Amino acid sequence: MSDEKISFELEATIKVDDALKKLKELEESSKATTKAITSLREQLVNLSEHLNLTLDATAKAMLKDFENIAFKGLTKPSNLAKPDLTGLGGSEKASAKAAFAELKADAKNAWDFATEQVNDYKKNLKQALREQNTAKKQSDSQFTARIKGQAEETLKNQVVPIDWKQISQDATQGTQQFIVQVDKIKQKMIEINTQTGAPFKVIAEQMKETKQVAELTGDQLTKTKSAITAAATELTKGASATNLFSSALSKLKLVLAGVFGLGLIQILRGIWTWFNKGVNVAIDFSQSLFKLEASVRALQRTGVNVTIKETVQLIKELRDEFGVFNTQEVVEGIAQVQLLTRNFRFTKEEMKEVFKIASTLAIVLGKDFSEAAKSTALFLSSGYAESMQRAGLAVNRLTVQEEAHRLGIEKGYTALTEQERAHAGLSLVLREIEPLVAENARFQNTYAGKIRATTKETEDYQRVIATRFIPTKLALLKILLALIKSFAQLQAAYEAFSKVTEKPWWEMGGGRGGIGDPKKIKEQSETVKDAMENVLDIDMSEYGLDLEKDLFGSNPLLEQEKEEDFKNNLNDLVKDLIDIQENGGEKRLELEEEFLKEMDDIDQEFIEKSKDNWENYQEELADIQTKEQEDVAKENQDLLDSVADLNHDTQTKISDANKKYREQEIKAERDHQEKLRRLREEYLFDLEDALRARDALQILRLMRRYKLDKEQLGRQKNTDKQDRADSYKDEISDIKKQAAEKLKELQIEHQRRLEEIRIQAAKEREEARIAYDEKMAELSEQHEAEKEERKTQYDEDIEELRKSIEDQLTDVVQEFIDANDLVKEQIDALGEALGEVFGEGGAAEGTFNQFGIILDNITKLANEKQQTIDLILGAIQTAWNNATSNALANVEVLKGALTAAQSMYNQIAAFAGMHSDMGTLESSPYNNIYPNPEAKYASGVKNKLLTRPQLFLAGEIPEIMNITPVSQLSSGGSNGNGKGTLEILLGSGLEANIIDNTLGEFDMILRRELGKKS
Amino acid sequence: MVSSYGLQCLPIAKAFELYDILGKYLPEFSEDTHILDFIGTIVDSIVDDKSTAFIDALCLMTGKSVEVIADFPSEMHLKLFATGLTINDIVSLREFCKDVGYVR
Repeated sequence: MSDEKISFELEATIKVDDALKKLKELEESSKATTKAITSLREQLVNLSEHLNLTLDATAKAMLKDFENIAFKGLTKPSNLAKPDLTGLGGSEKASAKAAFAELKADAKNAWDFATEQVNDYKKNLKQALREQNTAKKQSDSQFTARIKGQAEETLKNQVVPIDWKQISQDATQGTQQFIVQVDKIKQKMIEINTQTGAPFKVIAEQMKETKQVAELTGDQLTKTKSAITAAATELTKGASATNLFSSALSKLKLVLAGVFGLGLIQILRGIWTWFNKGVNVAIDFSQSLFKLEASVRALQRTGVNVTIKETVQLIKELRDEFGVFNTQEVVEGIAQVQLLTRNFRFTKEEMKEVFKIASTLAIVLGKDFSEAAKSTALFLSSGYAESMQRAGLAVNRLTVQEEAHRLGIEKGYTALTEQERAHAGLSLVLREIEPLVAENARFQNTYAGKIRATTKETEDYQRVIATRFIPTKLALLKILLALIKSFAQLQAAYEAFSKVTEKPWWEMGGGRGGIGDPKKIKEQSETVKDAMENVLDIDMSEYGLDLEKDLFGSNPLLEQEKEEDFKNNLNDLVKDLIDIQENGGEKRLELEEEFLKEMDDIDQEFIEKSKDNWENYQEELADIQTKEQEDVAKENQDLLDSVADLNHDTQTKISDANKKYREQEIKAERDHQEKLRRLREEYLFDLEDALRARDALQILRLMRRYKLDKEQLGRQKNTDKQDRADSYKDEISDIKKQAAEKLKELQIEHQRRLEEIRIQAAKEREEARIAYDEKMAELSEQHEAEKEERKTQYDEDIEELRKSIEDQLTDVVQEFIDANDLVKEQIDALGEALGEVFGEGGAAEGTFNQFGIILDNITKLANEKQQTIDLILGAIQTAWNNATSNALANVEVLKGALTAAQSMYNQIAAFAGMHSDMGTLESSPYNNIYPNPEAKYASGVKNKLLTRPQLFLAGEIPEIMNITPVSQLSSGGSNGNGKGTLEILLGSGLEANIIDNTLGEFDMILRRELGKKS
Repeated sequence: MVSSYGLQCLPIAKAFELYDILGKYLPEFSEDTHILDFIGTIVDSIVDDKSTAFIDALCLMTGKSVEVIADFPSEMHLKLFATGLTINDIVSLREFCKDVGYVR
């Protein structure tokens, strides 16, 4: 078994062991979670509380965490790298393939198992979440029900007893006591009236003055006086309209019938007059109240800090201090003053001074307070001082101007502003009226003052009673309308009656000078009476019922009914409040969830875009790197091509020089041989002659001569050969020198181009980095803007919801107040009671506070989201750092390639005998190149014939490199010992001539010299 | 002459109004009471009471306003008052009202 296979199997075993170990962990974890979903629920709740996240968000986080654990260290089967089987034998390759298949199967099992575990966990978690949400909903419902119960209980136990019930009972009791008291006094007054015949009004005054009601003393006096006034008013005004109506209008028919038709008209007129008078007083008072309210609003609009409550308090104070005015006067007076002086910018204290001036004037001049107040206000506003002067005050426009001067305002009266005139006038009058103020108190203690005070108090009560008859007037109008309609049917009879009544009165009686005969009058009006009886058939009970209700609103039965209504309405109010609260809470939660989801989407989108931007940046860097590598490779190839061309050219030149040298040598040899041949021919010719002559001396001389010539020719030949060799050597040297210079130039040019490529790549990388940074900044800005926009939208939604809730609350409370006709004190008490339930510290506070908790959670979630983003950006930064490290590691790979290239170059240079300095790696521009390791991986066995030097990269992964010279190939062109054979073939003519000419001897010499086979 | 001042015989409704105004000042009447004494007593009572009944009755009986009455010669006021009460038979009117149950 080879080492590679052992290593591969060992690695596979380790991976499988790791996978199985993780699977076991997953299995244990999964079993634990499967066993108890409740445990998951507990985790869910605890984590949710701990992290302040919603249950959904917590579940998501838990699932993500589990997925991270489950898939940690696992590789997706499809992503497993196939083993490199290059160089392995058949059996080894099969074993490796089998091991890989086994590894892949194990990885798939591990992956599937982890996926299954995650799905189970997800399913359990979903179930746990569902159960927890259901439980929470139930808990919320119970809480809401409990709150509702507490609220109702609180309202039942606290609101009703302390407010409405007590108030209504007190009012009913007080009214009943008052009515009893009035009845009692009425009986007494009737007794006196019967005895003395004195009018009730006089009796009432006498009763007050002489205190004839002996049994009523002490602090009851005030109430008694009121009761007396009320009783006198009732008895005096039209035989008591109250009695008339309270005894049921259905009896009106009998009453009217008892006094004939004439009596009907008269009584109706009396009642009508009384009603009108009383009701008009009440309406006037209402008008005064309206005017007062309007004046307060007007003052508020001018910037004076005054409220209706304060004004009412002022009315009470003035009424208490000056009993000689009735309430209506005071109200009317204050309203007049406030309206007329609203632009004077009087303070509240100055306003009180005005009222005191008016009070003093009213008492001194015997006027109504309202008239005096009006006069005072007119003086302050326009300088009209007649009333003041009548009271003996020395005030006029001149004195006002002097007062202004005294106050430091040096202007004429007409030049004074309205405010200046008013303040100067007020200051003046206050000083002038000072002596009269003391008289006020004295007047109130006089008999006249007391009478006036009593009268005014009577007027107040009269107004109060009359106010209650306002609805009566409405009812009466209805009755009159019905009567009028019926009267229309009797028009003819009434006209006849009217004609009679238009005549002198005695014509209805017994004639002028006589005493009227009632019987005759009765006969004359019989027709009308009959007709009126028809009119009286109108069912008055329906009007009477309304009237009774209007007149006796304090009827205990009605009060009880009203109280029941109040309770029901209160319960409805509480339910409405709770409904609004719950609906508002639900809508708020919906808004929260939507907001959080969209914020999450925005964050997710930002993360995706950031990742895309990062990937684009990396792709661009890779492109730049690839292009740089290609450029460098091309440049290297160009260099090698150029070197190869140079080498080829040099070799050609050397070859030419060799050829030329060899041709010169051959020619020289040929010439030398020719000379030798001629010398020999001449020697043979002369020798033949000497032989024929048998001249031995000549023969010897010829032989010496031939030898000498031959030696001379040999020396000449060697000299020429040396010259040619020297020339050849010089030529070769020149060629090599030129090649070296050219190579140097190529190297310099190569270095320059590599530097250009490096600079260009660095520039492109810098541009890509800037573009990446800009894009990131743009994305961040866009991300923040989107979040801000969504947050603004969320705030607006929340504000709108809050306003909607407030509006709904206002509507239901206002509806409740209107339905129960609550007064301010009741509303305050109600607000207090509701506040105990729904307000701060109330039972329902927790529900409202959910809003605050939610807001806190939002903040925390937003911070966590930011942390997540920071983590992702950190991860990107780490990836960048890793990529940089990888790039530096790749430089080491490139260095290896360059070393190989340098070695190859040196070999080429050595082969060509050229200069071999290609530069060092340390100074090489390749130091800054980040090659893509995957770009040059060997894809398998390749056989390629290299006919010229080439640069290539090998050894990135374990692989075998075998470069076989052509000379060592197993067949053709080689003798196997590394030496080549040179075969030179001579022309046939030349060879025959040499044989012929050298007589065989030279033939042998030539054969031996040239090494030719014989 | 007095008729030019608008004195009129009052219809029943206005007669009751007259009774409303003067009723409290009407003395008892007997056959030997002269009408002028009767009227004089009424006037004295009104004066003592410082009431406006005198002028109110004149206004009612003449159908004029207070301002118009005030423009009449002062010597005519008493004459008109007495004439008016005579025309409207004030004595009979009182008795009539009592008989029919009209209570002011």
